[in-house]
Amino acid sequence: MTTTDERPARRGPRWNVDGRALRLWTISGLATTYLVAWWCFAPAPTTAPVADEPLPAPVPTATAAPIPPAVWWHDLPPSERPAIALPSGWVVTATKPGDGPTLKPVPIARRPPARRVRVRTRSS
Amino acid sequence: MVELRAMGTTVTVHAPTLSVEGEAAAAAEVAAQFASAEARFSRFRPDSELAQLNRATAPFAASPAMMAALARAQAYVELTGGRFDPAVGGAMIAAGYDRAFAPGALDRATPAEAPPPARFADVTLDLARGLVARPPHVQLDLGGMIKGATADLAARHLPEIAALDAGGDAVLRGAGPEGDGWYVDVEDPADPTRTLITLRIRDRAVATSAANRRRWRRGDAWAHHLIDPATGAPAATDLAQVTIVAPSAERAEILAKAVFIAGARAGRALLANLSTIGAVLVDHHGDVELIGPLEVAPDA
Repeated sequence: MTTTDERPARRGPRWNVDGRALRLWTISGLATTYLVAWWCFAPAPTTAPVADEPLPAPVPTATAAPIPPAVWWHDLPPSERPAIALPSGWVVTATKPGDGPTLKPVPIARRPPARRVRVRTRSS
Repeated sequence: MVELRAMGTTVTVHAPTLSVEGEAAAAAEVAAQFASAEARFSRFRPDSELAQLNRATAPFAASPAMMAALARAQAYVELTGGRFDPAVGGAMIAAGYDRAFAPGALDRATPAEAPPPARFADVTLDLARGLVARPPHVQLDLGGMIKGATADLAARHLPEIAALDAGGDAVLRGAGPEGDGWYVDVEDPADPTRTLITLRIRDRAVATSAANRRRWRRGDAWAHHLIDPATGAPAATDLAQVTIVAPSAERAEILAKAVFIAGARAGRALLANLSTIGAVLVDHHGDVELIGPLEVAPDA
């Protein structure tokens, strides 16, 4: 008697997915996982809102005054330079060569020691 | 602060406005000044100019520095009425002070010998030709005067605020590191660990004479280095210690010695004519007398 294995006919895959589709599904799944994780664990933004969002208007205070435009004293014409009362020993120095007095280096004296120096006189 | 040894004592340099390196460089200048003076004026170095002068048997051609020192010594002899006299070199040798002092080094079992009488007036100075004629019995000693003079000279190498202390003879430049003067402790001659009084000194010098340190045994008695020119023996005085504040260390050294030898009464009379000199006199009972312009520190 010839026996023949009669195996049941092999069932096909439940989802018939080829290799290309499998890669797409894998990439999509990883991207989704990444986005969900980012949404849950990313630190809160510490910088100012993005530039295209409107900035909140500054709250005016009682002492607030319009800020005048800043200008370097040396950039003013000499006739418009205001007189400045400097503390004793201070001088206005030059911002570029030939624009004013140049400070010379001042030797720095060492501070005297905190302990009082005592001399002892005696016969010797 | 930098310490060095010179002229048988400890020399201390305080220059608080300098860096550590600057203070060390200044102290090196001070050391060179003391070494130069010691080489010329030491009584104990056979090759010194003073030793050669003390050996000379004919008029001696002295260096300008030696002539200047002898001329100043002559003026001090007159100023002190002879209480200071550099001709006591022979008397010092007779008392036993014939080598560099160290505690115990001069002790002898035999009593002191009779000193040869000598006066600086017996020495002839020819300032124009730089010649010194010394009688054989006169031995010169300029030790204290030269120590003071060298301190004055060496202090010129220091900044405006500095102190140079040569074993109790100190030059105090400026108003001290804190601007309120240099604080100078005057030692108690009866107990060197104690301070009798503290002076505040600016731009002046200070020197002290006493018989409590540089002394030695001769037989059953103590001898010391402060020789009374009138007797040729260690001075017997009612003062235990004299401290002088003067414009220079040389003058302070000379006057401290002269007042000590003179005693309290004659010392006061000597100082009465010297209005710029301050003095602290201590007697053998420990009583302290302040004379002339002195500023006592408030915490003393």
